[in-house]
Amino acid sequence: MFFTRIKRVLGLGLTNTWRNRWLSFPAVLIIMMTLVMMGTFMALGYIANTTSQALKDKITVQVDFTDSAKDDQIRELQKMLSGQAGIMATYISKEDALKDFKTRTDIKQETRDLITAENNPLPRGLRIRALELDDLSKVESIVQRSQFKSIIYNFSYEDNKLLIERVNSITKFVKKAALIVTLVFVAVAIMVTLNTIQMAIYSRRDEIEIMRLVGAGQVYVKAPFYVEGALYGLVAATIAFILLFFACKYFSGVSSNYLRELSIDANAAFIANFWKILGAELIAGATLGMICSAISIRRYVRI
Amino acid sequence: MSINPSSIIQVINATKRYAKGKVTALDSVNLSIDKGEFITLVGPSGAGKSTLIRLLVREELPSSGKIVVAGRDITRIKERDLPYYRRNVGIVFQDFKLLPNKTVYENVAYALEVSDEPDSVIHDKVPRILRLVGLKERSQNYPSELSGGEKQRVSIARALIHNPKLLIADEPTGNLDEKNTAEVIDLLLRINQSGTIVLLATHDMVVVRSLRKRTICLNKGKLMQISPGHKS
Repeated sequence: MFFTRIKRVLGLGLTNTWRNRWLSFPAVLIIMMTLVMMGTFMALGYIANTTSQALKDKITVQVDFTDSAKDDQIRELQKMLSGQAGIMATYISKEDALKDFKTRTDIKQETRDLITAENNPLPRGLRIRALELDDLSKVESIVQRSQFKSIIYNFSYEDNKLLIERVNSITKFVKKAALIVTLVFVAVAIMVTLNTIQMAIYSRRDEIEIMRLVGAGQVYVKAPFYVEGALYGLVAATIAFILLFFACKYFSGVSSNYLRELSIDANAAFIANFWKILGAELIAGATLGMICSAISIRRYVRI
Repeated sequence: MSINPSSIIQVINATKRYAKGKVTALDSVNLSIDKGEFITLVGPSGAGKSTLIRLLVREELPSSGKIVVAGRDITRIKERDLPYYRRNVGIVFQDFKLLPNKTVYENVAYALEVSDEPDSVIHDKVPRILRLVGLKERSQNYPSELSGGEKQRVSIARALIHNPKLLIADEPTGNLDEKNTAEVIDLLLRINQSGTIVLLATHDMVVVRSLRKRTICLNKGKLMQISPGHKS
């Protein structure tokens, strides 16, 4: 009996969706728009995150040492810094510094020629990178300890402090704003979807009354509407997925024009996460449709 | 009026009030219906006919009094058991109340599907009942493709599919021409002859006179008159 019920409920849901397809159209459209918007906001969040990460990766601070600094003092500082979670300090010898200097294109050739291996005034240093920009303040507090003050010739954090803090606060703001906008939009979209499905069910209230009068139990009255809601969601999710796919393809081209080396290959990211995105869209669509149907039907089913 | 305790249906002192008691739709109605009876229910609009029918189908509860069907007080039926009760009461409406997106066959089969009847029973019963109402050839048509009389016959077929003890017909000929009215009434009489109680609510006095069955009249919520000389 259980399987007969399942079969009948699914059959009724499928048949009703198909035969009421014009009535279902607005609901599918609204769910599809909701999913596209949710997908877009999530993609924007991902892009903002990846871009800010790329930007952060480019921000390094450097500690340059005086010639009188001893190797074990430098190693001690390197050890202390690398011991902090999320901080990486790489030692730059005089030779490394010279190599870097020779590759710099922002300095005239004549100037570059002035410095040679025999005559190398470039200081030894530590190049420090942090996973989170906030961690750089930890670096600052360690570097400025009195034990190291005498061996430090220059600390670039102080020069870039303003820029780093600004990038950090912008990144945080973008993340927060994206989350709030997404949540607000999702709430509005759910309400609109609910309203649309409610209207579709309202227009079929006579049908529900007939079902009750011929002796249909709750399962047979309600469950086909859940199936219909889930089907709206699945159809809408498939369309939304296709639209997002083309949007990502288009965005990849546009972003490389404007963001250059910071640009994200949205298309590649989409293809890499193809099944995850499709699965998430289908689950979100079916759940949204089903929940909205369940809430709507409660208003019209009185046994 | 006295109640016969052996009757299949007993309406005992049933009163129904609406609008917080300001409107009395049924006023202390007593009625007994015996096995195999055919009863016509007449009365002007607003007399309480539809209210009485809604109480018999347990769509509504009386404000006071009780309704006993086959020895069971239906006002005490729990919500989850209502579908089982309703499968024993067939109902036919003036506006047919067919599911517009289902074919004739599906409309009738639906009543069995939702009762968890096996497919084999559905395949056997539905064509038989459609043959009985003369719609075997129209089984794949949608309600919009049928005449008024045909729609009403589908509605009767659906009401009969569970072999109900009671068939309630609420103005079933209200939207039909003379020929279709005669066909529907003839069908109801045949159903009654097979042992089903038929309660026919109608405005059509020509039908009432031609039937010569027990007639009860409701006026302003009161059971006013009973003819011709039957018990209540």
